[in-house]
Amino acid sequence: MAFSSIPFLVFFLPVFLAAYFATPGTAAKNAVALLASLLFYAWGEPQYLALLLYAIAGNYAAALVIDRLDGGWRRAALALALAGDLLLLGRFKYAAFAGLLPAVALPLGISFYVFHCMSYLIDVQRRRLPANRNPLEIALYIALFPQLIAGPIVRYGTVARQLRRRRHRLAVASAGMRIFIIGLAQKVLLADQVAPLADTAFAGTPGTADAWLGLLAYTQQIYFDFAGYSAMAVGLGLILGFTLPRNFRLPYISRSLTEFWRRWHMSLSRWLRDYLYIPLGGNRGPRWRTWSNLVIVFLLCGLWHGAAWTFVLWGVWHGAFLAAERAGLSRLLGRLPAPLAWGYAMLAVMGGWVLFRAPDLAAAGGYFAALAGRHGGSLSFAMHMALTPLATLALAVGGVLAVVPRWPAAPAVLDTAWTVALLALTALFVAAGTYSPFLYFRF
Amino acid sequence: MLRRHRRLLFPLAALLLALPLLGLLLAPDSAARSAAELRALAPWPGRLDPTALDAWARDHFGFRRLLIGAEARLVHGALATGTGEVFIGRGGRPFLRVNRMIEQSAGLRLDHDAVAATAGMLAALRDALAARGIPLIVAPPPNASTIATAALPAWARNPGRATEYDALLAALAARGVSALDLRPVARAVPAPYRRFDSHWTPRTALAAANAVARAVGRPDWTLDEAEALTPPVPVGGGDLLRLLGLPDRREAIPWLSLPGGGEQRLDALPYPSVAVSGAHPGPTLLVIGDSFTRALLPPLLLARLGRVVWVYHDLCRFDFGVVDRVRPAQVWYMPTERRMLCDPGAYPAGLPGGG
Repeated sequence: MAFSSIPFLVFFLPVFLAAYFATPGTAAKNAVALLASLLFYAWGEPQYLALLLYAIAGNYAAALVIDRLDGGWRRAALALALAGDLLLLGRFKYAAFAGLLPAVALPLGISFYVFHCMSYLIDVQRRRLPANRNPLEIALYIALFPQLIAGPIVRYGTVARQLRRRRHRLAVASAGMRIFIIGLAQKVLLADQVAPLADTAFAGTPGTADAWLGLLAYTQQIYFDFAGYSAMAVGLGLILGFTLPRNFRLPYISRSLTEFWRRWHMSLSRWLRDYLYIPLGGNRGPRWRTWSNLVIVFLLCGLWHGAAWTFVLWGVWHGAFLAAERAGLSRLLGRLPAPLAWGYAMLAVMGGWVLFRAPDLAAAGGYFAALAGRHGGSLSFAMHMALTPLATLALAVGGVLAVVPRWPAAPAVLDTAWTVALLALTALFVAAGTYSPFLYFRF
Repeated sequence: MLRRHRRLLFPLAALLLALPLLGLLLAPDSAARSAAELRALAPWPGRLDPTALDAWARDHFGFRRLLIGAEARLVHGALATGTGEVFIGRGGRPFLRVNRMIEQSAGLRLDHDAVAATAGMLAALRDALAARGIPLIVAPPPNASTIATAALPAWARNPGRATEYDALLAALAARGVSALDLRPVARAVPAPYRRFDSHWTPRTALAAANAVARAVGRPDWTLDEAEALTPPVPVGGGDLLRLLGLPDRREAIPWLSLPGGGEQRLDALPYPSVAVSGAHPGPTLLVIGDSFTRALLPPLLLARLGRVVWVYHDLCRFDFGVVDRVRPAQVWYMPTERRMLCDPGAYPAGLPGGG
């Protein structure tokens, strides 16, 4: 059930909010939220609900065991539990890619909830916080529907206290609703409207004009899609009284890839830093070790995004740029005029998106050739068709919103009014998506 | 004061989100069909099946028509942005775009294999009919995007590329199958296509019927506009507006002034074959066509003929047996340009020469 769908917006969300706020007490509210989260998950993936419950139960028990042990046994228990989580992820996401087992459908959100589980276990092992003995709270931490499918990746410590006690205030719920509406609008009014341009360009071997327009569109689509979804999650979290971490902070204003990764999917960057990069040695060893750590971490980051060579190469691409910046490119960028440094960062990011979006390496190679002018040509017929006035408008508005850092604050009345208007406008688009007319004389 | 206003956002937005559900609960729509979408609405599944519940939810939330109509006015009306099925050209003129028909008109959809297969099938049809003494003529009605090009943007017009229409005519000529190019006929008619509908006007249908009649040596089957058409009358029901979700609009066009004749269904196919009989005896004409010919041609031809039998071409899957059942004097093969080529592997049942 996508957040931008009629079943969620019209049926699930109003009924859930009514039930949630009508229920007194945090424990009872937790039960309502957990039931709703399991229903939300089962709606899309009923066959994998048991897997989610298994992950919850397994990690709940593993954390209790780890918490009781000391020294080598503690580390061994953690290793065993992490191996269980990674096996789960490996079976469903990577076994077919590695040629070990036949492919199976990927359970929704498995990459996110496995990372939730792992961070919980590691933090318990590191004695950053005690294992939670309340299975309901752990289940809610892992399965809470706003962040279950697409993040942000929430560390247990971020919400541990709120799982037990949280306040529900109208001002906070309104702030959450505002963030939710902005995220919904980013997804529906911007990402979805420019998506056909990217689809057209990546459907085959494009001409140069198509390739650049398609890449520009995809650069916006992936940002507003992912950032929009994250904003919806953060907003819903606030409404429920949880402070979920912000996941995006205007990544396209970055002037280096180092800065980009401080602004893009920040919860993942932090997870990788704390649970992978630093344990690998981080930047404490010789310089070559730091560079190789960066490449390893981002190779795994690419693999986390998808089991395909394009994702692996995307990770290596980012890792290599980060290593180069660490090796001295950053100093050079610091001396460049800001627009040039920004241009470098955008080109590097967009080049990465080619790898991310292309169906395979050959297609990615063809796309790079098109960008370099190998296929020439003005806009194709198909791209003209996709470049509707609405797509053009979305591209223009999205382009501005993606790179303008600050907007003047509106008075509260105006702010409330335009946010409600934005919700109404977005609702029109969501509703229109259900219109499915039959061309009766399709004969 | 300002803080209080900002706090109102949650209840306001929650109410807005709940309105469609409240609308459904307070004023449930019991319709089983959507008149605008011409389809059955998804029924209540009666069991916990997420897919079926999703489909039901998408079809049954409150204020659905209102919201869809408002979006259509904004996106398709104000922003002139079409859909996957309708392209909006200059001056807001909608064009059907299914089956890549605008690309086809521009010469960018050219399936040589399908052209050859269709021409081969039509040559076999010609031979089988000739064995029964029945002449055949092929005359596909052109797409609106082939004729009304002034309303297309420059990039969507054909700069002189050969089209499937050209290729089919050439392939038919090479096989000696009689064919008539209806494109110049349609171009000669003022406002040849309806503005809000994907079909040609009765005036263009009349011009096409007259041209075909002349081409098959029956100028006595032709009619004057004065005989066949009314002065311009407001006509609605445009399929293009419906596909866009926009409210119906009327346009003033000359309409048929001739009676329709008595209609008899010949089969129970989804698009059933019909025999339309006129007031007086006369020869039978078999039209193998589609929506361009189904409603308009029988009344126009019945003024001179005894009976018109209309059969859907079904992309070359029509039943050839209809020829022996209705014994026509002539066969006019008139599928519209966008659907004039056979589906891969399709061949008329009972027609000699099929695989």
